[in-house]
Amino acid sequence: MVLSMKVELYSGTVISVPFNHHKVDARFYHIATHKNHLNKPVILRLHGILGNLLDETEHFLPGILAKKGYSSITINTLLANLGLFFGFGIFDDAMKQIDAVCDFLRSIGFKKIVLAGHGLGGAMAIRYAALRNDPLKYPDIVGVIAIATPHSIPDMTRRIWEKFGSKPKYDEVYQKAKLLFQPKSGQEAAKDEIIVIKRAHGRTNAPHHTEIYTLKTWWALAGPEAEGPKAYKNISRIKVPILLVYGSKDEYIESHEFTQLAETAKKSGNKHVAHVCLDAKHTFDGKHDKLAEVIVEWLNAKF
Amino acid sequence: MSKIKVHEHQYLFRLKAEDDFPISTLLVTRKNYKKDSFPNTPILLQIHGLLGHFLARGTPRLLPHALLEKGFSSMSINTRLASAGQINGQGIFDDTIKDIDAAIDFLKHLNYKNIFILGYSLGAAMLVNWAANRHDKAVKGIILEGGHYSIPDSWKKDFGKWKSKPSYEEIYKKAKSILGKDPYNSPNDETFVVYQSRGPSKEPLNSEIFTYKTWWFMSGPEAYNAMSYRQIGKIKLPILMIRGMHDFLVEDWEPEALAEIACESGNKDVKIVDIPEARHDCMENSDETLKAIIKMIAKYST
Repeated sequence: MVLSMKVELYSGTVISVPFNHHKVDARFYHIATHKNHLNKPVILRLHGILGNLLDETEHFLPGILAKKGYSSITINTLLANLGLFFGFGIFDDAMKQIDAVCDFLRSIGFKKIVLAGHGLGGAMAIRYAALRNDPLKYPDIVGVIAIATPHSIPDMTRRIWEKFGSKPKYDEVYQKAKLLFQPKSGQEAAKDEIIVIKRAHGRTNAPHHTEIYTLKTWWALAGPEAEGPKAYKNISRIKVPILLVYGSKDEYIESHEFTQLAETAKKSGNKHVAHVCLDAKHTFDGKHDKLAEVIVEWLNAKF
Repeated sequence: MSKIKVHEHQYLFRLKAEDDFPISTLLVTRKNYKKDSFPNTPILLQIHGLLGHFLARGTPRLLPHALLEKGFSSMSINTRLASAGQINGQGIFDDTIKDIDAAIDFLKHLNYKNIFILGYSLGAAMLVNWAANRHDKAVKGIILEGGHYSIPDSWKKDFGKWKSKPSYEEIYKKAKSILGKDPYNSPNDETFVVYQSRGPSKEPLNSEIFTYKTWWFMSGPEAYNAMSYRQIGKIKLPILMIRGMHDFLVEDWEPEALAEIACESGNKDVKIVDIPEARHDCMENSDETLKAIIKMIAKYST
C-alpha cells in the first residue's frame, strides 16, 4: 500500500517468538484464510550482513510472496543489527533461533518450511538445512533459497581484504584472534574485544569501507576455521530442493563462485538444484520484482 | 507456542525525512488506524535511546502495548541514530530533527492532532533539541525519560571515570584534524572504538563505537544541540520528566537542574516524577510509569 507523502506501509506485522529466556523478533506475513493454505510452504527469511527484518533487501519480498499465495516470516537473528559489533552475533548460535521459529511455524500448523536468505542469510539457510537434513526428524524442511550467497564467507573476506589492502590484514586479525581461541601452552587466553578493519571493502578509511567485528564474531563468521559460513562445505549435505540466485554484477562475489556452489550441490547427488543468474548487483536494487518472479516460479514448480 | 499474542492493529510504515532518509515506524492503534485517527485522539510518539530502535528491550519495546492496554495509541520511530547509525556515520544528532519532523507530519497527515512525544535517554536529548526549535500546534506536551543534562558532558565524565582509550581529549583533537573547519560538510570521516568507555576492561560491552562525525555532533565538546541544558529553556510546551529512582546513568541533580532552567525561562508546566523501583528504564515499574504518562496526556489533551 502506498500513501501520499513518501510513506509506504510494510507488509506483515511484528511478533516475538520465545527463545530460551529471550525472543526472536520477526515480521510475519500470515495470509492463511483457509486450512489448505497450511499445506503450502511458508518462507522463513534470513537477513544479510548487518541487516534486519526491515532493511532494504528484506523489504519487498513478503508482499510479493503474499500476493502469490505464500506466507512468510522474516527474522532478526543474533547477527542482526549490532550483533557482530558487540560480541553476541555468533554464526552458529543463530541455528537455535531458527529452530525456535520453525517450532513456532509448526505450532500454527504449517507443514512445509522453505528457508531463504540473502548473502549472509543465504549462508545461514544453507548451514541450517545441512544441520537439519534428516528427513525423518525434519520432514517439513522442504527447500532452500540462497540469494547472492558466497561460496565461502571466510574466503571471500580474505580475498576482498587483500584486494583493498585492509588495515589490519586478514592474517594479522587471525593471529590476534588465535590468542583468544588457541592460546599457547602456559599462556592465558585473551579476552574478546572490538576490532575495526579499515579499507575492508574499498580504498578509503571512510566508514562505508570499514568493517567492525569482535574477535569472537569474526572468528565465527570470517575466520579461516569457521565451518558454518563455508556454504560449499554445507551445501553438499542438503537433500531438499535448492534454488541459487545470483546477480551477474555482484560487487563482492565472483561469478565462478556461483557455478561452483551449484556444481558442488549437484555432485552430492541432489537432483533438485536450480541455478539462476539475473542482471543485478549484490542487493538486487531495482530488480526485486524479477527476483520475486524467479522465486515464485520455483516455489510453484516444486511445491 | 502458537498462542503468541498479536495485536491486530499494528502497522509498520516507512517514511522519508526531508533529505530522503528512510525512517521505519511502528504504529500501534486501538482499532484500524483509519478509524482511530481523529484530531482529538491522543497519540504518543516514541523516540528510542542510544543504539536503540523500536524493538529494543525496555521502554521502547514495552511502552506501546502497555499504553494500548490503557486505551492509548502510539507510534515509535527509528531515527537515523537507531541501531548502528552512530557507527556507520549516518547518525548525525542534529539531523534527527528532520526525522521527528517527518513523524509529526505523518501523524498529522493521518489526522492525529493531539500528539505527545516521549524520548528515552538519548531520545530525550533528541526530543529537547526538536522541541526547542519547533512550535507545532498539534504537539501538546513532551515526556523526557532518563534524560541527561548534557550528552557530551555525560560521555566526558564516563570516559574519564574509566580512563578510556583513547581519552575524550585525544578524540577531540583527532576529530578536529580529520573533520577540519566544517565538520558537517567534511568529506572525511573514520570509524573508531573507545575502549574502556563504560567499564574497566576492553571487552565489547565496555566499549563504544562512533565515527568522528557522529561523535562530534552527539558527544564532542561542541555538540551544543545535544546539551539539553542549552536547549530546554527555549521550550514552551508542557514538560514531564520521569526518572527511575535507581537510575545509574543519570545523576539525581540532572532532571532538577533541567527543570530549573525551563522554569526560569518562563515555562510553568514542568514536572518531575520519580519512578520507584526502576533504574534508567522506567518501564521496570510499568504501573507508575503509565500512571505518570497518562496523567500528562489527560491534563494537556485538547
